[in-house]
Amino acid sequence: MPPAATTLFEDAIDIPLWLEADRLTPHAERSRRDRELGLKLESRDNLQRVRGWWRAVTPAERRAGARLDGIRVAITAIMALIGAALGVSVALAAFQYDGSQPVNVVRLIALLVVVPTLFLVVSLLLLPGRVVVLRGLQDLIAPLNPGALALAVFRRLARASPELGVAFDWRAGRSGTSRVAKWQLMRWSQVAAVGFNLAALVTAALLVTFTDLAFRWSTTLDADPEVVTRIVHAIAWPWHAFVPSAVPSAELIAESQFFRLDSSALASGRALAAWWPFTLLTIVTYGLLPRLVLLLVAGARLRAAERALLLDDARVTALVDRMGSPAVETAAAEHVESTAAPTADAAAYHEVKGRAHAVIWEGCVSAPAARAHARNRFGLELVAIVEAGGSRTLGADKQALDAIGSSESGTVVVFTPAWEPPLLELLDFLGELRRRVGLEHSIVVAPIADEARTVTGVEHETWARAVGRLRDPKLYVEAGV
Amino acid sequence: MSVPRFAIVGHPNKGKSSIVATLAEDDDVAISPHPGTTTQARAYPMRLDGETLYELVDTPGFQRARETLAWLEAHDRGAGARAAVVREFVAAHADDARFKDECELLKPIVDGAGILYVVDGSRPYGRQYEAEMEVLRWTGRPRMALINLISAGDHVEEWRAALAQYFSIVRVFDAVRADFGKRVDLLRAFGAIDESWAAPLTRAAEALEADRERRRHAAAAEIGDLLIDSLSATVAVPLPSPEADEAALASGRGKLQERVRRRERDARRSVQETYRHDALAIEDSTAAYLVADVFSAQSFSVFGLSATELAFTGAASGAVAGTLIDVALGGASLLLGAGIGAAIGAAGTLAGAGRLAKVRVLGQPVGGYELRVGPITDPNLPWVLLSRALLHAKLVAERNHARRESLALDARAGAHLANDISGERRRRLEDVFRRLRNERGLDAFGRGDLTEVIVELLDAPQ
Repeated sequence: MPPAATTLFEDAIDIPLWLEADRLTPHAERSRRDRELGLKLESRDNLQRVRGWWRAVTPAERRAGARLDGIRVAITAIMALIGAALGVSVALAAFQYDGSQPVNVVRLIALLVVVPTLFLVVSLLLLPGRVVVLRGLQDLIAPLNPGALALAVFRRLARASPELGVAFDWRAGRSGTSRVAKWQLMRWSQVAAVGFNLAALVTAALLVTFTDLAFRWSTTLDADPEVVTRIVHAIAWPWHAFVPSAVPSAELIAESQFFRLDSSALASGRALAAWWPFTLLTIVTYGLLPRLVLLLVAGARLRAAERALLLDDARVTALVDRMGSPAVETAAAEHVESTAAPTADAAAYHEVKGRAHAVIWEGCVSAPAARAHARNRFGLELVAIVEAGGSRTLGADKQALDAIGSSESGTVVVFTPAWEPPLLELLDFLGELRRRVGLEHSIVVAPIADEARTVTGVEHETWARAVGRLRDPKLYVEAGV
Repeated sequence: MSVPRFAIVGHPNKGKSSIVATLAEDDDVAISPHPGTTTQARAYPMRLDGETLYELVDTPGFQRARETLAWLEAHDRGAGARAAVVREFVAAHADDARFKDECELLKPIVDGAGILYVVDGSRPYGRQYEAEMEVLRWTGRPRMALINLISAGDHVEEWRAALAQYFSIVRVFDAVRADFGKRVDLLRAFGAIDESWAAPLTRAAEALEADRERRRHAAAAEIGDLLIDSLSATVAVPLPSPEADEAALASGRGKLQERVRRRERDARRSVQETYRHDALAIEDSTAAYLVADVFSAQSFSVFGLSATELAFTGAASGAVAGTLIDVALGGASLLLGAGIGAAIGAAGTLAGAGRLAKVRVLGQPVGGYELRVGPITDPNLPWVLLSRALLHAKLVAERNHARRESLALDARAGAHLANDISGERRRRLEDVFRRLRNERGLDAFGRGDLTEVIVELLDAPQ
């Protein structure tokens, strides 16, 4: 069953973490698995390929990314709700009209346009990064930004994974996660702001529809109606061509000025109600639309940052390489446990004076050298020497055995090349030799080094181990030097 | 067309398994100084995306070659039937424990494998080998002799003369010391023993070369990521107040150092895996500087830049930045920008030496404080990390799978290995390090550039 769809954010968190744990999988196995999956994926887009691989390689289960994404979604909803609640409250305050005093358009613009615009500027100041001139200002204004507050809450809730908690800090340089954090901050800011403006707009529309409002403008400043007319027309410029009825005329503006001490304030209420389209379009144009645009931009940049967070990760880059590179395998298909050879070494033979016969195996030593060796190392006088093994035929070996067997047997020294491995055919020969000479006589295997070398420890051990396999109590190997 | 198969045969303990381990890049191949380690034939297929391009078969050595030859001669029906007689030998002795090794090694050959006969050229030739070479001649299969060099002696010419009597191609191949190029050359040479195998073997050699190149890139990327991750690492310690005491600072620094150490270990493991040296150990002795702690004075002395070179590198990097100002001013600054940049670069670099990392206390919007330690500002640490990683990667890359001892490094304190990196590359690297120190991040392109420089360093060491 294919796993449930996951968000890009979840994947950007979970895939690198999974790949980190996957390092314990043998490299060859990883390469083979990823290449096989890579060949099955049709998309050429790396993001699609990585996410397709992820769906194929892992069972559906809730991971760290899902938990963080859940927190993120919850914070987004809360930000929208807080923004909306604030929007309703501010709109009710701005449009408050009980019949005694009209709604002051100046105050309304200040509350619904100027203040949110200041917040917008504050948000935008957090975007350029931690450059020297802005750093202090950014630290100062961060607590005013709802997105920064939301991000701080997110990091605190995400603390179950401390490294991720640090990573999602918009102040931590330009790493992939700090870019995600910055655009997440911006998106949460815009979600709150859009909620605010939408709620304010709806509240205003409801008040306009279900109550009677009268708008006038008032300011303590010495404002000439002509100047105010120019300002109002400048504000209404974006929609003057489409909705001319929402552009207050100069007469209406002049007529709308009031002073609270002036008792004739409500004299022409019907005409003054004509301000409402202007107020609503002002909220839409200067409050809602910029925030919507920023929300879209922040959403797009956040997605791009999440994409980069996933694809720029070194582990994911390596995965992409594995999926795209031909899998070259050279090792054995299956693992085989090596078995240790039995280690019952033959006993070491030291000096025992007397007479002996000798066999030179594979021509490893000359007869005079063999005699000297037997005399010097064992105190033995060689009475007869035969040759066997090597290029000689099996028949020749048999003749050598016959020669030793027919003589009055004593100790037999078998000279062997130390550098060569003890082959089974030599062990066959030693077995046959034992049969011929009887159980009472000693047989000594004397490994001889080539040229000027001496027998190495490994060579001696090798011979002792091989000869020991015959389990013959009177079969010895010359003691190591 | 059948897949080329090669049976690696010979006397026991002459390096057959070493040759297989080297060619198959498999640490799993049992290699021992004692004979008889290989008791059954084992196949090592070379696969490209699942398609087998060739196969090596490691086999036990001949144990009763003369007896085998005697059996063959006893059943001889003329030269045309000798291959069939060998097949009959295998069939007749399939359940005979005495000839288990001969059957194991002859079976792949009678099934169509080519023969790679291995001898030890460091030991004298002996006529005892003639029986087994004669048995191999009886099989009628294409064959090549490889003179392996297990120890110090030199009997190569003696062997070459003898082997030429039985094999049309004789090559010397040191299984333990052969580098990648020699291994691929040998593989191509296998094609010479049967012309129908030349094409798949050439394809295999090309695939191996391309794979080798990818591995080098992967190792360089891993080293680059080690530098990026280590130099941009930051750790946080919660603080009750904006004052960070010594204990908190020590804890933060300790955490940061541990993170760098762990990252270095991971990078080494990854590089070893890339070169299929998963189980390779690094020699743990006082002479092996690779095991010394990366933050130790010894590591800085062996791997880092000397104080002079550090200042020069900082100056060069600063001068480039200053030159941009000179260019912007159309030369009116009389190269003052470059001069001042160089001075600031050198002074800044020397001033930063010995200071591990940036330390800050940040207030949290939801209350409380956090001590941030990082990123690393010590200007020499990146060079130490880089030099250690380069040396490790080179040792691993050049290492042959037939070698089973631990990885050891012959270097001395005060060597300052990073000094050997050329000035131009050092300047490019210093720009990256400075970027990371200043938390300006490194995008995918920057990472790619860093990888390229490291590939160059792996390619043409210093």
